[in-house]
Amino acid sequence: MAKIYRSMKKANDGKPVVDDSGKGLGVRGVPVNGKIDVDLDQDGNVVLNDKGMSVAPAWRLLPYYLVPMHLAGKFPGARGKNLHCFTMGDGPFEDGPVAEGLDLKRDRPEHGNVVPRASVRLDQFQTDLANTRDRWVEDEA
Amino acid sequence: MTRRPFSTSPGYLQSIRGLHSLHALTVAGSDDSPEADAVRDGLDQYWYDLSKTEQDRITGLSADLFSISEPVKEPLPSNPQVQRKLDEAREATKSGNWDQALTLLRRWGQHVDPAKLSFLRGTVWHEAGDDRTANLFFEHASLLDPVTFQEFYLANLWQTDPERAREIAGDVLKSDRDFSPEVVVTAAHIQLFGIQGSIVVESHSIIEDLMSILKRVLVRVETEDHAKLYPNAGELLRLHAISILAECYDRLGDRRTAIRYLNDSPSIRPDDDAILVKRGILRYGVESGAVDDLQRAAELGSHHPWPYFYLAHHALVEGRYQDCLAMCERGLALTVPDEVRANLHEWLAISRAELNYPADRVRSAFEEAVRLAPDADHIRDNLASFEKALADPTGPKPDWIKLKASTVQAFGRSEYLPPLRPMPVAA
Repeated sequence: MAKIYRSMKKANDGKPVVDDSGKGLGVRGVPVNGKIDVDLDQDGNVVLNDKGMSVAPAWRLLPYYLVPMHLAGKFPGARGKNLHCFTMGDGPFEDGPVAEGLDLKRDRPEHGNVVPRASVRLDQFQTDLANTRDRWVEDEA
Repeated sequence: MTRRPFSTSPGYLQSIRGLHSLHALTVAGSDDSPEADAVRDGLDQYWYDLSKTEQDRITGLSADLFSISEPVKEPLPSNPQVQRKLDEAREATKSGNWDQALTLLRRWGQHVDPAKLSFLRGTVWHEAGDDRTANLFFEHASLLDPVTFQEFYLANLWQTDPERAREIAGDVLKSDRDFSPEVVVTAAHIQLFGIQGSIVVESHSIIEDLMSILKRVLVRVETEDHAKLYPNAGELLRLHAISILAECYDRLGDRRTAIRYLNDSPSIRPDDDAILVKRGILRYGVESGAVDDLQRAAELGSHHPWPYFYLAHHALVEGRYQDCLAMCERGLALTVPDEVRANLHEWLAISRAELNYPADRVRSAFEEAVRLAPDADHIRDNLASFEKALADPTGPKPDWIKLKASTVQAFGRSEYLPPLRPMPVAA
């Protein structure tokens, strides 16, 4: 399964915080600061249009405003606040399954989205993402 | 390499301005606020539409802005390799390779005096067409070394944030003796820009204050040793002060003194377009040398419309219609207020009529003039004269109404103020 990176808030147990703020493990199903990660159909199901939870193949390929500021020594210009870089998986950054019910859809070499494999309700998608929590490890090397 | 400015696409600009906001929040200690998160979310909207070069540039800018918000460090010692790299950065700036210049400054900047480094970075952004970003660096340079850079910062701020520039200019003028003469003259210039178009009665006391300040500055320039700070800047500074002083006299209705100041200044260079235009306007219809000044400005390829406007009028009055036509065309190619543009179209129409152009080309020029200045009776009357003569080819030629020199002079006097140009900074 593809190795993916995402910067997220860290919980006390060292794992990512599960939330739908755009800074945790989850997707913005309703707009947060005007930004939404997935589209929903009339029945509240996630539309399969390759939108989902944003990830990158390496933390150094994240946008500067999502790279934690404490990494400024390694990444000059980092402006992310209260974020940590997490990773899961170990394969090449290619389209394919990343977890139960979840696929990676790459839209460019340095970016992709984790999307539901089939059209499911938003809360099911959030649960599937949350179920990956223990697999994420902090990696800022 | 082509000196192509940075992108002005909405997504790119939003990304740059978003970083400015994020930086301001970081400096204010609010980078953890919901407001900062909203900015980050806004940045997310455009990031992936940017090119890799643009993403790298913005990330580099973030690092550079971060560096100027930290306590100033003593520069590391220089060496021949550093000098070579800094020379490369200068060359890259000159040739329009802005990203390379910024990267070199980032890599080798720790060996450069921090004020100068900020000035160099600001210069690259300025040259690349992003004055708002440039000013963040100019402001930093100005804070660290006000004597050298504050005037430059203020002059550039005027282009991007006139309100803030006026605010600072006001503070400078309140205690002018505490600031360098360069900063004071620039502040006076900005203040004068600020009251352009206002009624003289309302701005009278402001102008008088400016005049006192400028006269004090001229005394200071005579007594302070400016050559040590800026080679060749003394003359430029005197000229700048004198041109603003002349403008003040003119605003108060004392045109003769204004002209005298400009005439008596030994500093006026024969190639100083802005001053030639100013003096030409002031002297137009008053002194014979006006046309020489304006002619010289036109020969220099002035970017101001006024030399062409006045030379067109002068040629019209003298019946040199081919010259009038040429000057009208040059004037119309530049940005001109509608009322002035209307006159140029009218004179173009008259010249075309006199040079036996087809009637529809004469009429179209008149009609454009009427459209731009519907209340100008002389344009309508001249158009009527033209149509009457056209209808009766055997009748008398049109007796054109030609505005007096004193009337056309008023256009330029109320509209033209020499542009604000910062002094060159020794590299």
